[in-house]
Amino acid sequence: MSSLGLSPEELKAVEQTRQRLSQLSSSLNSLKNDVFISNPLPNLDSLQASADILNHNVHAILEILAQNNTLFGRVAVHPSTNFPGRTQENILLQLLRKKPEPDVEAAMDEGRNTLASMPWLGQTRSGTTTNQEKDKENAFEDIWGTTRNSCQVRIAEYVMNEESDSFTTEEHEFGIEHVRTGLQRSFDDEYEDDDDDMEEDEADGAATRGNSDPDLMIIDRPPPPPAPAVSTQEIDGATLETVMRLATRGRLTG
Amino acid sequence: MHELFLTASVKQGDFDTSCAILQGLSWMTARRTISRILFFAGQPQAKGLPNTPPPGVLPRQQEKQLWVELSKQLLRSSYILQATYEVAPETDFGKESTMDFNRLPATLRWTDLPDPLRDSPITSRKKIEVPFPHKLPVIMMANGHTYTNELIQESYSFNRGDLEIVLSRYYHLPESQGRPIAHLPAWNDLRPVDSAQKWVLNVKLNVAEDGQPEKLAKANEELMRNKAEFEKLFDFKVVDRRVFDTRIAPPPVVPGRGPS
Repeated sequence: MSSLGLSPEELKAVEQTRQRLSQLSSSLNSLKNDVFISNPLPNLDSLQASADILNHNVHAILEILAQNNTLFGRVAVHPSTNFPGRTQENILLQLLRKKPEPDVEAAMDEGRNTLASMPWLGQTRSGTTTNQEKDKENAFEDIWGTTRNSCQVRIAEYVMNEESDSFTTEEHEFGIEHVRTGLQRSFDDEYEDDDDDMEEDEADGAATRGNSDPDLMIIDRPPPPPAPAVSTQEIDGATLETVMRLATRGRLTG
Repeated sequence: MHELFLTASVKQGDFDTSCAILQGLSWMTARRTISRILFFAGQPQAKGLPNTPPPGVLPRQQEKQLWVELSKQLLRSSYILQATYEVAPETDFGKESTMDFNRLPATLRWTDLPDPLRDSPITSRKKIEVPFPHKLPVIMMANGHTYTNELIQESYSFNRGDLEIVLSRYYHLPESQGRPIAHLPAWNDLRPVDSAQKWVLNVKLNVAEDGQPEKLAKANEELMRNKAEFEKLFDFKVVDRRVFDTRIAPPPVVPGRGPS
């Protein structure tokens, strides 16, 4: 061990990392097996549990790596002098390999590409918009531009022709003289009166306001009382307080 | 022990979604429990618990202590206490069998009037829970408590760390002259307390130690932190503490005679 030039603590850190990696590897394997073997797929609970374990494993590894960052930065691995390098060349190369294996590298690239094509990342990369993105932008601009134009046309029409009209299209169809405004006086007089009022107000101040012609409302009839069988309690149920009180004392009285 | 909890109402239609969300938050499936709760009322005049249970009933020191503490609380005032029995819809409902309450294990539950916390959505109150292996009703009667009523509680609970999240609703049982009903009706024939079948959501934290205000304050803080997360999903209500009043009013004092 002394030939490694590592203190016992440092060795422990390496050993811990090895253990955690082996745990992670076995957790991944067991999840892989679960997914391969079970048909139908494992249920949500067990997937959640696996995700939890993996998350925990990765977290533990990251923690150790962060703690021993400087150590792992300077540790170099080389085979012992008495290792049968010629006969065991394959395993030696695998152990000392620093780059990921081709299939792993392919998987990592795939992951990176997936991440890069996530929409929220794409937006933050300014200055690198490709032609395709520009086309998309133009298409959007066209759509919103048309929408804006037609909104403006409609608003203009409303302001010019319809704004002063107090009745709906439906009321116009039935004839505005039949409309029940709820007011005693005729609806058309309203504006004239208002104008007069305003002039008076300006002249005399607020003192005379409203005395001459009170705005009488004719209410059709009072809303019918709720039928005794269908009280609001039947629809909304008991209140939270009632339920809690009952659960506390067993009954509402006594 | 002290318990702190938040209260919200969950509509029947939102129950499945709520459970799914809570399952995601707590990383566990809900645990369903059905409880039959018997309510016992003390005498109007507070007398504590004069008759200690026989040594065989509460063998452990821990539970004996809880009993002594409960007796002290019941000297101050009379209360309504709950005896909770766990039941199962498949075996206990709609069958000819009768539950023998003196042979079954039960939990005796006492909760005090909550602490005055003005305008806080958190209800905080003292509670004592004594597990009884058997004989709970006999012992309650020997201590001057009478059976008043019973309810069925259906609940789904989740745990996240120390936090307990419980959705519950209650059902009436048919009237049965001064004692628990002999045969429970079939589960589907139970009459819900709330005709709209809403669920009561409680988010709870327990503080084991009494008389440690700093621990209570810490739990209060933690619950408020959780509330901030949960209130995007649930509408927590400020509940008047009188809703949770379990005390029994003392008998009126007749002037001139003095307390008997």
